[in-house]
Amino acid sequence: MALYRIAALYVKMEPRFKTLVSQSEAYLTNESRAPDIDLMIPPERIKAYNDVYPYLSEDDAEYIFYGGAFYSKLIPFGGFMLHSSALAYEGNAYLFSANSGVGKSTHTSMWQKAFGECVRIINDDKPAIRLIDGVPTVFGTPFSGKTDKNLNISVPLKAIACISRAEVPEISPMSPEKYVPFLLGQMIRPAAKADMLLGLLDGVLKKTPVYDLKCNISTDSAIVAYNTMKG
Amino acid sequence: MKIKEGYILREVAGTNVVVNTKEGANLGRMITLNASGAYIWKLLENDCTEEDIISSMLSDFDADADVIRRDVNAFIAKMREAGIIE
Repeated sequence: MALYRIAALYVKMEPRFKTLVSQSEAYLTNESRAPDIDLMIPPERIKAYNDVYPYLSEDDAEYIFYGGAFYSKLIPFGGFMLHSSALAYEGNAYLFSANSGVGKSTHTSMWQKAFGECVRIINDDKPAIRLIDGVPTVFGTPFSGKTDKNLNISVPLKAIACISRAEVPEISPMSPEKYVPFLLGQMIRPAAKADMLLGLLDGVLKKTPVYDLKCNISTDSAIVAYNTMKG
Repeated sequence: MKIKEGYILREVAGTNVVVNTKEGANLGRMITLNASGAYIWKLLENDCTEEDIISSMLSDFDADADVIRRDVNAFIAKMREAGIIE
């Protein structure tokens, strides 16, 4: 049995296929203790999931199923997943959320182009957010969507942007009436834990500004975003 | 009539959000309510009639009775259509 340290929690799991095995490697711990989260999932459950989605390889089915299970089990530990590309810069984490295909990863790659190697991608698609001592904190996890861009680091959350495409980059504060439904639409929301999840989101949003970011594929978009989101 | 079991109203960043907490329910559909919607929702958490809601609003809100009646009627129709009240 292997023990992993993910989002400052001890996680027991035994991945079998290449993607999850390689992406989890950086999170392995030699410590020996009882896990906080038990992710020992019988192969037949993955197989049953794969039967529902036969176009997935066994490898992808395992990776996706484990990710969903982890983020669902994270909620009672005060954490949740926000579908976003998360970066760290100058000791702060910035999240860029949108539906698939809008350009979350493209935008964070523009930050790297604009500001250099000191911009690090914490998790390119599915970062974990937990309130640690009252501070919203972003964690890299092995579950980072289609790319392997994730780091086993944690960084205090500075700001969130909901992004859309536009000819000219522009950023403005977003109203809660707009961003609450938007962000809820970008989360894993198990019905039975919905009450808990809404409380967690409220706790994070009380301390985190949310912006409406219109961006194109240019470093200008990154600069416009940074100048406002840094506070 | 009242809210069906499993539906909850919570405030997130000052926004009133309604979700279904029943196991297996599709949380994809979320509803946000304005202040008067949330007011009616709270009354509907306990069994009440449309007339109960209207008279309660008439005493708590400084608005025209016809407007209140029309808005309550429309709200309840939408809630019924969404299958949220029984």
